[in-house]
Amino acid sequence: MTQTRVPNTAIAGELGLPGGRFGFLSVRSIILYAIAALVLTIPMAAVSSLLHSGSEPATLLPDPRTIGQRAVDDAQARLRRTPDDAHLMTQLASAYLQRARESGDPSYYTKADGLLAAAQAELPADADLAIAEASLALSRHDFATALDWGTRATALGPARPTAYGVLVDALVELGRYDEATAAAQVMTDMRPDLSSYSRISYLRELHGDTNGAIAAMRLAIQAGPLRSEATAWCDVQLGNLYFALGDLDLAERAYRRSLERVDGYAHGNAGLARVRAARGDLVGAATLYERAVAGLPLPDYVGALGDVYARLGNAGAAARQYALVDVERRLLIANGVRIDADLALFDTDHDHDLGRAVEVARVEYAVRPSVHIADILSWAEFRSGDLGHALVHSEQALRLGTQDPLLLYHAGAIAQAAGDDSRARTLLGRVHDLNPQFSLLWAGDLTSRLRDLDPAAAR
Amino acid sequence: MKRWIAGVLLGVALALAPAAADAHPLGNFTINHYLGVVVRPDAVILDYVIDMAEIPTFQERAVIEADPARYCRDLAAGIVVRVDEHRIEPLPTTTRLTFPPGQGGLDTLRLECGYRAGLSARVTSPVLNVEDTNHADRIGWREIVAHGDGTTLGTSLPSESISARLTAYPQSLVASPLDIRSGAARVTLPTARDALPISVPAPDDVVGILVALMVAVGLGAFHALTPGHGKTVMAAYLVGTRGSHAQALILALAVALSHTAGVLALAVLTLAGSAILAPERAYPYLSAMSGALVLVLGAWMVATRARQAHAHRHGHTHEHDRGATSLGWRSLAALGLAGGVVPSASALVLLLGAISVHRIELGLVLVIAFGVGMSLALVGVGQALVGARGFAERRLSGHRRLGRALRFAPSLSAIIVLILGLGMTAQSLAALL
Repeated sequence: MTQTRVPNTAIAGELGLPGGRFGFLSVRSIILYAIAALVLTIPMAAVSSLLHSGSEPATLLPDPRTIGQRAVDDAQARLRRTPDDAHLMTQLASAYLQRARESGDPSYYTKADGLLAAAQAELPADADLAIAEASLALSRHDFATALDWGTRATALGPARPTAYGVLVDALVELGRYDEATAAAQVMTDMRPDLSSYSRISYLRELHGDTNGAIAAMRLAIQAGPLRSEATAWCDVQLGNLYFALGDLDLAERAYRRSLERVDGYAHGNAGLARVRAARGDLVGAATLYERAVAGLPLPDYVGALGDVYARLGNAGAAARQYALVDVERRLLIANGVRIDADLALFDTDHDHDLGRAVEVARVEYAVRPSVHIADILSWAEFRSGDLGHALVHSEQALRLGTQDPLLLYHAGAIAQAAGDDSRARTLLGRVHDLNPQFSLLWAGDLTSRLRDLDPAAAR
Repeated sequence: MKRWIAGVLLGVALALAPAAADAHPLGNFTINHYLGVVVRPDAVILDYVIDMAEIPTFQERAVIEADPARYCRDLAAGIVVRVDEHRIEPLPTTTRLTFPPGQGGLDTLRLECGYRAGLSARVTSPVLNVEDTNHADRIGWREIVAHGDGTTLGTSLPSESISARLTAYPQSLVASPLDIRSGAARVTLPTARDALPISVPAPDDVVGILVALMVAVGLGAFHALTPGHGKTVMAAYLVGTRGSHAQALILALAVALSHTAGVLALAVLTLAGSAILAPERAYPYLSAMSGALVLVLGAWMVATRARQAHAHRHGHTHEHDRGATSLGWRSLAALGLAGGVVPSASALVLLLGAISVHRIELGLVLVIAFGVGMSLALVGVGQALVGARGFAERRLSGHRRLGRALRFAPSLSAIIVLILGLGMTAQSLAALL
């Protein structure tokens, strides 16, 4: 036994059983090792989370989502955690409204509506909710309701520029320009940004200061985010202002910029199409309108595409687009939306049920006597032979001194029919000076009217 | 002429925003897509539904109505189906065109196209990718679901439609319209009749697997020889000093067998767990559990080492030796089993490592190889000790430096396992959180 013990111990020690002086493994050392190991774990976790985050490189790459999509994702996630939070419901509804404008998907309006209805029970007097309700009413062209909510929003949140924003929009569409200008001034003093500058621009445009409108819109664009739908929309508005002045190159550049901001932006493509048509490139215009309509079939653009087809001599294709406008009209009625005045203008331009066009415009004018509705009403009355009323409403349409070629053309044609040749010459001459190619449909008519009115040409 | 609503930008809104309750839930100009994927052992069956709202119906109706089958054929080009990166072509089988009434007395359009794409079972666990690229620029609901018919799918795609194939759109206010345009699924085809999701590795892995097997055998042998198996090796030694070749053999085999059984039992538990949970979901948790297990094992080994070192300094080891010397046949086998039944860290690391790269079957094979290596080494050692114990005793006691190095080895391996455990735990937790 004793013989075996010595080698036994030696082998045990060497092959693994305890045998040496392992002083570095005291209890204290183990605690120290454990702490060191924990300290090491944290950077290891960080490194491995970096290695495993292939699906979410969000921290390193720019977020591909739009501003509205980000707002929607964020608000949805928060609302799922606290589903009864009325403030979050309002926030999500606002995000949906933004997303609806970006995507053109109207189902977001339905969702926003439901959320706001639910939030309202909890928040009877909340400025953000009033702002969101006003925005929703504006998108549905229910301007009287929008004014109610906008007034409430400014009362509840007198320090919120956005409250004044919705109020300005409602007042402008209702034709209450002085109040709108005052509210826009308050808003701009509060926060000079894209929202306020763009509203100032529109009010200047309405009051005939097109150059001032261009300056304000440029400020709005500078203040806007580089890649947002809101900035792209301002680009399109700037393009429209240049187009009204007949500067097709600058207009085209502005429309192109909107397409750089938002890929396939329908309003940008439609603007470019208008420029092409004004330059006489009808095939190019058709292609661009087709592109715009494929993404967003607004009746305006569908009708314009039909006009281009008609001018190209393709009556069948034009008829199909005009029929699509009618389909959209039926859907508007089915959805409980009051028929848009734009459709009355379309009908008037195409001699399509003029009686209905006058009726629609008249109803609309009673609700909101804005210069544009006055213009549409006067044009419809003129084309249906009611010259007396046309003259009255034509005067209303020009009451702000707006330098919109289409308004001036309508007024000039009415003045000419009424025998006031000098006024007609002034108005139509101004259209010619601004942009002789102001309209695909009426540019030719303008030239012949001016020829008739020109005493020199009569020779 | 352009109306402007500053900032509110509602030109887009058009008044197409549905205000009435009976409006198409997704607006009047949406084109909505549903793609139902059924994976059979021999084919992928596609159930493709297009639901057009009133406006696109008006625009597209004439073309589709003229030849619906042709339209389905055209749409097939926009459905990208890949099996392990090889595109397979969906061939139209059925066409069904209806015009459910929409708003304002207008029609909507519902086109159902059935497709079949042949699936050549080149490998037993292919990855299927589907993508719907049709009408990419149009807004609308986009849904893809997938399930197996005679196959098992590992996928994040849902197996059931939440819109009842575009007939009842959910109207949750807190969720955006569904927009799923692509998805992937790992397909497990039925092999023999095994309940466990074990599949035979693809032939191109064979070389890698052979290497892995050899490494596993080597690891097992090495493991048997490391001081980590001090107890069993000592038992083998005891047999060597007093016992026969047969006893050494039995002891070695018992250790190897029980060790392999222990690891396999753990593996079966793991697999049973993963059969209940979808593998994709179970893996992060399995990895976390494995990490924690290795961590605990490492901590236990370090603690044991420390305790033994401590105890040795106070000279208590000799009792242990004396107890072991009086082993009988039966206790000898029990010692072997007990010594082996706790899965060794290295074998566990092999298995869990294989699990963490989603190769359970490979892990099992490797563990068995590991056991084979172990038993080979233990038998060898036992036989060697029996045959040449005197020589071994002299040699090992004569080399002081080698002896000291070997004394550090167990503590070192314990610490390595501990660090490994920490790393695995940290990584799996990072993946989970």
